This record gives sequence, structure tokens and C-alpha cells, in this order.
Amino acid sequence: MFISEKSMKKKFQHYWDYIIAAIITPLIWGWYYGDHFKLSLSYPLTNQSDLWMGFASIKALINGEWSPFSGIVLNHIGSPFGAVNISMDYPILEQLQFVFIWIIGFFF
Amino acid sequence: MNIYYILGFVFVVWTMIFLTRQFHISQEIGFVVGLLYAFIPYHFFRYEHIMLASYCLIPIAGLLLFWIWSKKPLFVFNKRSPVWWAVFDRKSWFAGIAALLIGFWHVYYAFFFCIFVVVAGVSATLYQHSRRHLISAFILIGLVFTALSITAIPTLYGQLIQGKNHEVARRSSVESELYGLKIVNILLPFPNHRFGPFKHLRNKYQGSLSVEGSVEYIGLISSLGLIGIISSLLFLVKSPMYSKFLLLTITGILYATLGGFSVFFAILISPQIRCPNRISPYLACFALFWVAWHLQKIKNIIPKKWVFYISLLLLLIIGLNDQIAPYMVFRPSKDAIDSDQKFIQAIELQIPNGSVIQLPYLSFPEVPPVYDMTDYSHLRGYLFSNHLNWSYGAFRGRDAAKKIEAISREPLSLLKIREMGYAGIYIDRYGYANHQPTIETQLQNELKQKPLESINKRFCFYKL
Repeated sequence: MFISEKSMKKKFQHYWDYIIAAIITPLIWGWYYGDHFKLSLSYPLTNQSDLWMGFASIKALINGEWSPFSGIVLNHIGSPFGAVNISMDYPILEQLQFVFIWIIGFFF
Repeated sequence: MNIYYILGFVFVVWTMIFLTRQFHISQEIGFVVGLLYAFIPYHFFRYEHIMLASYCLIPIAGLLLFWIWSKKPLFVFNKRSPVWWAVFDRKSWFAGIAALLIGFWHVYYAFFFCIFVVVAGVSATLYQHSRRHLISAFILIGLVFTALSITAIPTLYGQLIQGKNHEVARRSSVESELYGLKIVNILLPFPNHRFGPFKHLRNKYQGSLSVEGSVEYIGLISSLGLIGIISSLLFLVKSPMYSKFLLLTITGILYATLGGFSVFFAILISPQIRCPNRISPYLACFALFWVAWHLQKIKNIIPKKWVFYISLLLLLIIGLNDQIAPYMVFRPSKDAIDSDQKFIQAIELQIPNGSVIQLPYLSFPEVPPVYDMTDYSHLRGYLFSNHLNWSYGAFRGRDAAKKIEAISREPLSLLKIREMGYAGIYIDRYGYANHQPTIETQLQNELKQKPLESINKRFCFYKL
């Protein structure tokens, strides 16, 4: 089934703000901070302490050391006493964000 | 991870556009306001708390709050529905799912949402003379709590099988004040603002009390919106829409401000939600929504539309340049990243799959810096390696942490360290006075070897 030019135009008129936002926002980002983020997309770009924890959790997540019901289990810390389940001792309640990041992890 | 952070900006624009669309605000206005909301300085300064930086559900939360006042309350049961899913209307289904998502997304934003819902629910009940509005508000809260309870399963399970760790995440009610919201911090520009007079203004202010989020500036346009909302009191405006903006904004400020109702919550109920200043993106959302609302009114009366569009573009340019500083929080150094990465990789080559003890001993989690070594610094090891095992990360208050702390005490017993299974010693020199660990003398004498050093000399490693 062909989508007519008219209907395409109509759809674009209805959603242009969402579409343009998806393009413009990263461009604004790049305009101001692109140079910084070219350095690394995987490691913290500041030495702010809590950021290391955030990045470590995400690494665990992408490595498959996370599930919504077991929480984040870092297999390579707290050595030699085995894996450390961060969620068991410290409430980490951003599970939906973890799902998002986990999905994004498949693409990068 | 940085990709997720950058994508967060797009999500915020989308949800803000969605909010404005529901109130028949034109697409151009929604687009401009969405961009301004995505680039509020909070988004940059919260890079450290990357989950908190993702505040894209706040406009959706704002939408639900305004819906609470609708004439027809949410979640009204339709007994005559032909199919099961039609027992509620589409709006109620959307609200229910959105409330669950808010609960799953971030505990702070979910909690603040509940505070606003209580106030909006009571107000709607009085305004519409209907108890059903209050019930619908409590259903929203119930859904948020359901989601929060599900996300807490790993923690609850952990407490069940290994007992509560009383040394971790201990909060006191004083912290609610320490991390309170200061109005001056959300209205004053940041210290390195592009515009000289703004920069000067900020630098003239020396806060007597340092609080978290000391730079929570919400931007010039949002600030004007916030002042506009509050100044509607002066005109004794009776419009319901103005009253809703005012009620939500005043609720947010009264709850979060230093010594505000958050302290009562901390004393009477729980001190766990200790950072009320994190409510500022809600305030920015209300303020920008208010701006959008007025821009639409202006658009409706202005005869020459091109004048309006040019003004809108100027507003966007001014707003973005006001909100984004030449330098924010990012202090990227390619050299530092390279140095860390190469150092850890070199260790991995020396002891593949080995176990490394990290010095100085750093308790986990949430501790103040040790000299120039910040909290969680030792996680570099984990982050840059693939198969190495690191001593840092055992929870304070558990046996593992006690054993690792004991073995890390000086003078080191290399024999005991080896017996525990460690194949090397990693030292962060920033964790010692003058970046000169005395322990290295002992190691060099006993091991008769020169350490492997990072390019920037911050880290060194001794193979055992």
C-alpha cells in the first residue's frame, strides 16, 4: 500500500516538532559540548565521585550482571569474597531506566 | 552511558512538547519551551547523578497533576462497558500507566509527584465538590507506590536473607535541611555565566550555608515564569488555571525550601528522602509551562504572525545561551582517560583474571574524600578492566569489608595478602598526604621491584 504524498505531508505537519526535536537537540549538544563527548562515550567525563558508581552499575548492566528482580550484581568487586549485590544493601530503585540503558546497550 | 545521557535531552523535549499539546498550545511554542526545558542547567549539573539527570517524565507527571482537576475525575468505573478494557476511559488508562512509569523511573521524582498529587487531589475535591477526585488522586499514589515496591524487591529480599545493613544509607532528619532548596540558588545564574552582569551578580552572593545543588539555576525564562506564577497573587487572579499553577508551585517551594515541610516529613515519617532541592525540575516545568501558556495567548492576539515567530526564535537563542555556560561540569581530559585505561590494561596483561587489593582502603559506599581521592574512585579498576577482580566494593558493615579493611592496615603483611588470593597491589597516590604513600617504601624494600605506573603517575601497581 502506498502512502500518498499528501498523507505524508499531513503526518509530518502533525509530528514535525517531535521529529525536528530529535535532530536539533543533539545538534545543540554538539554545538556546545561536542568536543568533550568525542573523547569517550563510555567513561565519565568528570571526576565527580558518584558518577563512577553510576558508570560501574551501567557496565554491570550491559555485561548482564543485572536483572530487575535480583538487582545489580557486580561480579568483579569485593574480591576475594565473591560478587557484590549492590541492590541488596543499598536501595537502587531506577529499574525502568536500567531497562532503557540495557536496551541502548544492544546498539552500541 | 553518555549516549543515554544525551538521549535524555531528546526525551525531555518530547515529553514537554506532549504536555503543551494536551493544552492546545501550538507546536512551535511547545518545541521552543521543550528545548529550553531540556537544557536547564540542572541537566548538566546532575551529570554526576546520571539517573537523576533523566527527568523526562516530569512533564508527564505535570500533565497528570493538571488532569486531577478535570471535571470528570480519573478512574471512574464504567459499569456498562462492553469490553473489560473500556471500564476506564483512555485518559484514565494513560494516567494509570504513566503513574506506574513514574514510580519505576526515579524514587525522588515519584515521591515529589505524590506530594503534588495529595495537594491537587484535595484542591480538586473542594473545587469540584466531589470525593471521587480525592479517590482518583489516591489511586495515582497507590500506583506509584506499587511500582516503587516492585523496584525495591532486590533490597527487600536482601534484607530478608542477610539482615538489614545498618551502616549503609543511614540518613538523619538534619540532612533534609542540609540538602534543602534555596530560592536564591534557582534564580541566581551560575558563576561562569556568559553575560558579565549575571556573572557578577552571582559572584556577589556568598551563601552562608552550603547546600547540595548550590547551582540549581533554572534559567532566565523559567525564572521569569516562576516569578510570574507567584506574582499572580498580587492581582488576586481568580482564573482556575492560574490557581493551579500557583498551588503547585507554592507546594513545591514550601515543601522543599530550607526548613520547609520536608523537615517535618523527615522527622515524622522517614529521613530517607533527604534531598528536597531535587524538586527544582518540577518548578522549572511549571514555570516553563506557564510561559508557554502565555505565549499562546500572545500568539492568539498578535496580528502579524511573523513578528511572533521571530520573537520566539530570539527567545530560544537567548534562553539557550543563558542556560548553557561555556563550561559546565565536564572537565574532560583525554590524557587522564588514556592514562587510566592504559594503566589498568597493563595490569590485566600482567595478571589476567587475577585479584587486586586496592589501597588506601576506602569504605563502600558514600564516604567523604580521602585527601584528593574522591568517593568511588577505586571503581576505575572495575570500569576499565574485563576480567580482573578488585578488593574495593565490599559493603561496609559486612564481614567481607571488615576482612579487607583489616588486611589493608599498615604495615602490610604481604604474606597474608597473598594468602587471601591477591596477585597484586594497586595504589592511588591521591589517597595519601602529598600524594606520597609511605607504604611504597615498604613495598619496594620487600618486593625489590619498581612499580608499574600510570602515565600521569597517579596510580601504581606492585605484582606479588
